[in-house]
Amino acid sequence: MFLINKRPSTDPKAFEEAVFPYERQVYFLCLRLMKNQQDAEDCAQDTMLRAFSAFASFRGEAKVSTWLYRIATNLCMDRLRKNNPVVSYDALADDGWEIADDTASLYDALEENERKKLLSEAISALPDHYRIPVVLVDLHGLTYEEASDAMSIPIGTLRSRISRARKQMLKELLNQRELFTCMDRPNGERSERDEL
Amino acid sequence: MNCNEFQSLLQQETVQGLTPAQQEHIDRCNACRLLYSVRRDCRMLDSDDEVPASFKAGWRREIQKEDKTMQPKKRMNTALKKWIAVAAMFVVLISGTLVTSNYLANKSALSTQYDAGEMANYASESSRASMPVPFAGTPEMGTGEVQGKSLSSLQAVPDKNAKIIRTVSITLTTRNFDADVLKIKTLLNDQKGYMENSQISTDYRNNRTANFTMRIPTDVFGTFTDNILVIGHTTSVSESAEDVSENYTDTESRLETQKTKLKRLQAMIEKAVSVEELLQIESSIADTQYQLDSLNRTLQGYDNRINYSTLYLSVEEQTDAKVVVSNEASLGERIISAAGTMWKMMLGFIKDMIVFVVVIAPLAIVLLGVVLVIRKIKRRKAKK
Repeated sequence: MFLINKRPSTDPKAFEEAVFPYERQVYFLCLRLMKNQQDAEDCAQDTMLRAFSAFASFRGEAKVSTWLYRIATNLCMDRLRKNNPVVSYDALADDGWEIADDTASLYDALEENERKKLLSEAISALPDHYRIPVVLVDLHGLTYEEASDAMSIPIGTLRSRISRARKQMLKELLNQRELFTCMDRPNGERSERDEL
Repeated sequence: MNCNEFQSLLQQETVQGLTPAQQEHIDRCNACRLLYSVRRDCRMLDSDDEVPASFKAGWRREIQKEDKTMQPKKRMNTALKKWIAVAAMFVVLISGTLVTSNYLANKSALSTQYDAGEMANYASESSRASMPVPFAGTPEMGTGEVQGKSLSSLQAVPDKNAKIIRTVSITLTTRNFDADVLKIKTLLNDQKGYMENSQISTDYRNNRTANFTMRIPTDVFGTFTDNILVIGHTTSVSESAEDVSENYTDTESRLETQKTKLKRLQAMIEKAVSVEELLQIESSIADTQYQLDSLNRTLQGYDNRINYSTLYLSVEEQTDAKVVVSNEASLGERIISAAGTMWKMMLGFIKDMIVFVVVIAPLAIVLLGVVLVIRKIKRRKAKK
């Protein structure tokens, strides 16, 4: 007796219905990771295609969003690795620093679009392997577990990278001359800045 | 609450906002307050931006294309696989049924041969040694007589001292094969003869043929053959008589000569002087003894063949011939006849198929189990 291996076929409509709610997240994730619209569109489209090909075997063990994030992250990481093969994990110094008491107030006092612009620049300035966890966790709200699964790294490594990345991000914000009138240097030294 | 606690709780921040403890902390800690503000803004970073229409349309278009390229292959592969599986099952079933039919037919034929009670042997009559036919006649049906005279009376014995080796070959047909074979064996025992060789075979029409080589004492040989000739219907008789008197006498003379020679040699041994002479005499004695043994065997062979004549008997079973009157059958009769034959063939084929399926079922179950296990393992690997 012979048996025929029957696989469920992928219906494009069913796939579209399943992934349409996450179309926006996928695109903006790719945009933040790739830092330019063209590459972001390419990666986002590849993500959808790959998800469509694998949809028949998707058994629903994870959320659709998490599954899509994983595909998109891996695609972007592969492309970034191709473009920037040399990776330095010591790019961010883990030195201590302090901020002035009124920094937060000054930041909050800025207009929303100004804050967004500052943040975008700060995030873009991060090295790839620090930017990715920050985008996943802080921008897209993934838990540490989901983010570590998407990046295929241990959760401890993820925590460490996020911690450094956030510090770096804040440092970048502090370096904006328009925002702050003075800033603290590392190791507790204080110096007065010139007037803006 | 310290900064680490605050930041770990920030990870679990819900829409409701900060807890009183968290609020109290950021009122005191500038860094955490800034972090909170930054995180809040990060979540809203892309909220006002629109997804490009090119991307929205692009990925939909691409999956439609992908689906079109995948579908025909899927359909073709699935349909092709189905047809191949069906064809394979059909081939296995038909060939298995044919093999089963053939096996059962052969088994039936073999059991018929064994039921005959003898080893099946299809040796043809020509394998028997051909005998000289100085005398041959056409016996009357069932009478044991040839031209009104019995076979025994026709056997000429010119000289009582003559050494004659008699051989007769008889072929007869019978409708009562088993009864007549028993009769023949009973006659043989009664005349104190013995069966030198016996074979029974069956032909393709299930008709049996018995081939016997019998040795009967010469003094009752004629009577025996006459009794045989009345069994069934004799289709052929041949007899030969080989006069071996001269050879016999010659062999006897040679034997006597060798005996005399042996006596002389034995006498010479006692008079031998040297070892060399002794050895020579002993060698001659050995040769003479060998010749004596050989001549004795020859004489014994002659005696055996002279004292026991040989009858080669072939008994052929005859079944009633069926007379087929060939009439021109009508079309309807031909159709009915052909349909009947086809129906019988189909029934036979279906029965053989059922036998095959029942026989193959255990193996099929085992194979099915193996296939299921392999599929399960493959699925697990794919899952991982």
